[in-house]
Amino acid sequence: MKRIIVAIAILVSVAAICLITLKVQTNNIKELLKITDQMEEAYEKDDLENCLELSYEFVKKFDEKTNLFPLFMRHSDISKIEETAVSLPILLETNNIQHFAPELKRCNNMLKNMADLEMPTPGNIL
Amino acid sequence: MSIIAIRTVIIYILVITAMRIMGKRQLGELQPAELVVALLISDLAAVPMQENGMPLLNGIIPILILVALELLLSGLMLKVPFFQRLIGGRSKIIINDGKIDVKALNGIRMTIEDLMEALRQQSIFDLREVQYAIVEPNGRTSFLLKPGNRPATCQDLELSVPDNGIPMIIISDGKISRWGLDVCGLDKAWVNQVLIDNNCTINDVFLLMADRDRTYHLIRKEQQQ
Repeated sequence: MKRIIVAIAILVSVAAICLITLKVQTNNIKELLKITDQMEEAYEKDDLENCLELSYEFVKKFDEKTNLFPLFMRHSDISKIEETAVSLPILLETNNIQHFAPELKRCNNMLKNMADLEMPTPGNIL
Repeated sequence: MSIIAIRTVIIYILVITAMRIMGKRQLGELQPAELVVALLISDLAAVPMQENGMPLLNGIIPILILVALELLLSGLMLKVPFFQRLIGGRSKIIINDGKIDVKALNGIRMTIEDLMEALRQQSIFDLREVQYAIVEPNGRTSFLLKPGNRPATCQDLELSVPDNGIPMIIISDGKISRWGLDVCGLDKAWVNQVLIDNNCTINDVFLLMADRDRTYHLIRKEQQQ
């Protein structure tokens, strides 16, 4: 009986860890996606000043929000997005506008993929 | 490099704890399900140990789940006989009253050569001596010899043998084993008396074994060297 209780305790703890990590990840990615959406909007309106401000905010927020990600996500997945995120304000500052839009789109897609891949959907499980 | 070292220590502690929680069966006595879990755990532990870019949790979570499932399953196997049969399998009689059950042998894909090998491993070289042979769920084969071939016991010979209990280690390399004393119903005063009788101190003793009947065997350190 003692071992069954230990087993149930382990399973409950594991379930709690899984739920917490999922919650942290989805919430943080949602916030980051909100900023990229705002950046896209500003870019479409040709408001490059706001876009630059948002891109700096995005880099700062990315560092804050992905602080816990290495605990449960592959480090290479995170660093790929980070590399793109860091380049966004530089592209704007150097007037490299034609590269900014695809890089922003790439960043957005990678964030969305990151959120989708960790969801326990039948497709991801199988 | 230091990260790998720290990760290795963490995984090592986790795996040892997992194996302790699961119980301490010898590798050869593992049930099929237990063997699979042991192999899986070793494999899961190796990956995050080597790969720095992989979160440690990716290794820890599956190990914890395997341990929990193994504990649950073993608990269920104890309580529900159906699970015992389903997961552990059943023992199979392959020699029944001196006759080889070919159908049972084929069922477990065991050849006559395998059977003879298992017999020889038990120091049985003549098939005619065997009355029953049973293949256990862990893959080992147990044999019961025909009455005329079984080794004679004290009961057969109508001999009375004193029950001295199990001989235990009382002193090992100068250190007293409290557990050994308890099992044999002895105390430190008895140990001191033995040391006086043998004209030595506790530090001179390499090994002292004794049983419930206070029969002892003492090996000194210099004797050992």
